[in-house]
Amino acid sequence: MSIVGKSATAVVATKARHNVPTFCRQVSAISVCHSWRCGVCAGRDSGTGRPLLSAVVQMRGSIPLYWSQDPSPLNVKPMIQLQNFDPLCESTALHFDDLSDRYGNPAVVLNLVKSHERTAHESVLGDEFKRTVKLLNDKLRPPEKAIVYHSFDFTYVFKRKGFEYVVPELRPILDDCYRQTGLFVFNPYGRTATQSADGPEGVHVRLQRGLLRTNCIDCLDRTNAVQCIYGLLVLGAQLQELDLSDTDEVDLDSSMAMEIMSMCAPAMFHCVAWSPSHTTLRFCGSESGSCLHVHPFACVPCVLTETLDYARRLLISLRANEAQETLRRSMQHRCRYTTQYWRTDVT
Amino acid sequence: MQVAKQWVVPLIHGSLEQKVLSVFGATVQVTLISRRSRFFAGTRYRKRGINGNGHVANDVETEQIVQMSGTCPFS
Repeated sequence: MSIVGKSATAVVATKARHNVPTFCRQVSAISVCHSWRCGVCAGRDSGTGRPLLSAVVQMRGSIPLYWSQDPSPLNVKPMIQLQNFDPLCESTALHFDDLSDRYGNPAVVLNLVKSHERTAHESVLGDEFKRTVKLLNDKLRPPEKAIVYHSFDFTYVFKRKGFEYVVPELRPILDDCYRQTGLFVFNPYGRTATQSADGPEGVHVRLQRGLLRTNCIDCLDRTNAVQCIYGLLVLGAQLQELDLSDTDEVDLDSSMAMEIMSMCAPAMFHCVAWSPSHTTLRFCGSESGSCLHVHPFACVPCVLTETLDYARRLLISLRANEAQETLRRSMQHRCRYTTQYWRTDVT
Repeated sequence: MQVAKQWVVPLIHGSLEQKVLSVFGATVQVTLISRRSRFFAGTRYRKRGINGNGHVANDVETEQIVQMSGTCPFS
């Protein structure tokens, strides 16, 4: 059977002597097995009945060193305080050992903190993290568990050059990460099925080995954007592995990419961020009684938290129109991909 | 105190988003699951860095699953 030129899974075996399909056991054996002979299952493995799928895992986490920031709400830019509690990096080693046990190797670290600063602020932490990873790789971890370290000054590229330069400059790092870690694939009929040797006998799966670990300072804005970009880049590979696409490229302006980005917004911002400046985007400035509703598309990660905080304060101080204009200008300027999707309503 | 398994309700703190998309005529279901770690949890500015057990703040695992929406028209 052909679906738009793509061959579908067709069950031709009549009565299996070995490996009776699990799917048959779950329902009446007689009725389903009879149907199994003449039915066609698209997108499922004929042997197990499981749907063909591909999955990729990535994570975010704070920089694994002992450091803190002053939590006072009056402090707009709290200083980063790096504590030297762990000169032997034992806690950091524990963290990466845990990642190795759970996800395999290698752990690819992508550090998004600033490295171009007039006054050393985030760069102190970034340099210390790099030094710690080097120490772990040289002294404490075996070569097969080496941590792959990348740094990318997201703010510098974003502000000095523009959002449209972020993806091309980030691409080599993300491609390297994908090349080293791969993704999980269950597709016994795919082009790489013969190379799948990770599952138990008779089950063709390919496992992801290692993962991408992204961090900035607060693991919100910049991390959101990069994780969203990585998800879109890997999506192309996932579609190719499932034989739905001939290439692993995804057009970031396509409607499919827009749909994925719209999914990222609630997942990564409102539920994961737990940051007041993000959640209040969709709530009212209670003191003023007016509401500012911003559609949570991918333009939101381009709007930095400081802008969101400023907009929220404007809203609370009865300057709803200024809040709306602030966000509209910021989104329009920063993100060419989603300008047609943002909308701010003041009610 | 030992608790029997059937009384334990597994929970995920995070987010689940699913969409069914049409890709080159085929139907796929895209699922995005985010899971926050329960270790060293805390809100912004109040939890940073790492603790003595190797757990980091703001630890979130995100999984993107692309699954073919299989249909089985039995005769």
